[in-house]
Amino acid sequence: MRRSQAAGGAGLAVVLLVGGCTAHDPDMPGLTASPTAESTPTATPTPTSTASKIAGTVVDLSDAELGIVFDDVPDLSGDEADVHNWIATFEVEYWRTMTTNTVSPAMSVMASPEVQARMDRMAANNTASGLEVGGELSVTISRIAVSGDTAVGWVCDDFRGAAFADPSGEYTPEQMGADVPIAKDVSLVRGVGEGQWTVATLEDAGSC
Amino acid sequence: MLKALLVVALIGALGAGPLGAAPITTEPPWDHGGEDPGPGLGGDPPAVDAENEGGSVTVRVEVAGSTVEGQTFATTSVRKVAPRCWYGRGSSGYDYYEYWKVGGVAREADTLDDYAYQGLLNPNFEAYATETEGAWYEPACRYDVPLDELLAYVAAHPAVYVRPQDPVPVQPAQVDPAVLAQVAFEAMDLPTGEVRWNPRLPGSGATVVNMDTWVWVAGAPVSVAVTASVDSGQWARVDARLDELTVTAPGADPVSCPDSGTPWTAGATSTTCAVTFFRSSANQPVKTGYEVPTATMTITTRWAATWVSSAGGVPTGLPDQELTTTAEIPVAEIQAIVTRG
Repeated sequence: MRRSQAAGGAGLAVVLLVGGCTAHDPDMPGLTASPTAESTPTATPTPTSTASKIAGTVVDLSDAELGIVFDDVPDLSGDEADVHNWIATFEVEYWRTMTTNTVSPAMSVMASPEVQARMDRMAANNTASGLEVGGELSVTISRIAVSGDTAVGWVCDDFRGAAFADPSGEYTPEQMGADVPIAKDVSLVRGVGEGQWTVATLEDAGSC
Repeated sequence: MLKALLVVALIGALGAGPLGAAPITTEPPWDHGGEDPGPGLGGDPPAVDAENEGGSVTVRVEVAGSTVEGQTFATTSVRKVAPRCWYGRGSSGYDYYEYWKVGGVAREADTLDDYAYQGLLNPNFEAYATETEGAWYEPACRYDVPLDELLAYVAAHPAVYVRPQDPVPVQPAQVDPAVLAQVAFEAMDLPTGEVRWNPRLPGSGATVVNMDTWVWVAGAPVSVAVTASVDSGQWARVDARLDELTVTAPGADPVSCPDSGTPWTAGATSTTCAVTFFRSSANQPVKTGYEVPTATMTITTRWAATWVSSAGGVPTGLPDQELTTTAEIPVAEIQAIVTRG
């Protein structure tokens, strides 16, 4: 439930002299299963650089395994590129949250408490509905504008490639009312990291 | 389940959809994270702040003022407010580690990997990699907190891991000065004083028609300072002063006075507040507790207020505040010359 996290807190890596590696199921990110005796993690070094490797460069965060694709990735630079990247990152974790019904831990890095509360609500409601969502989300990001430490952007979420199911059966996007892409306006504020932005607010913006 | 869904979707595309495979019941409600979760779904939770995350900030409110007679009064009270930034509960040590470790899900995204690369992850998070009980408590700020304030707060409040037996971090008191000012303003609970007038005929206490009736409020506050402060040293103070007093009553024209009036004393020759009744109160009802008809005189004091805070800056105006009190005043018609006192 954070807008942002502690800056510069990692410090030097801590080496845990324990055996084995944590088995990670890539199909179920965010799963909160208890670790077993075999799941004791191996220490991982944490870099201490304070410089960004990607600031100012647009990245395409399409992830076939997760089922998210970004359409019409714009050619941007500087702050606008960073804003695009963090909107895209939010969309990835939004979709991860929707497909796992577990709020992504990354939300604490890139979403305001208010937006995180909405993600909490979404996961809780869909869990209560017994709803599972899969398939593919297509995302278009545009209309990015930066002003100082604030920025805005526009997102079109296309769920027509998504799949829905509950214990009673499967449902098409049409049946779920997801056959019309949904637009939302996003506002962001600069975060604690270099090139990092945080989603401050989300507002419904009709269809797209 | 999701793999099964994909298979089903493919089958559907080939013309043998799930509708043919099994009867479909009513679609479950779907919350896609919009402003409106949709029919049948739970709405937004209460506003996000430290209070509903388990904490709030104690505000000490001190009221100090003086009355028209030069006497002072003071009160102290305690209130609770939501702060701008706070420690909020996050993931378990296990979930956090699994997500952020090298090779973890977060590291597959260039942006999140870059965030980790900058050394911004929770301090020493590897040490809590097997902790499924307890949680990280991480600094959080309202979305509208300015960046410099956010950075200062985060720098001073690194994430801490709290095991079940450990106390949660004390919620630091970072309160919007405007919020403190509002608390102070709302705490400006002023004494109303006692309405007095002259002439005041012996026995009935009545005034008379067609001559000035001096009106004043004994014990009326004329200035007040309300300070709301928190342990961190932040404070806001509302300074208010009586700006205007108005008197209305049936049978008299309303008057506006610049202060709470001038107490009548023997030999006094002028007042700042007088009302003239042109009609007796004979046509008024007899109120409960009274034996004769009375006119209800309403005294309204208007207070002008400004606030300043520990953050500095020039005094900021606040909406005027009005305070009303009433008095039942008999108004007599007499033919004789009245001598004051």
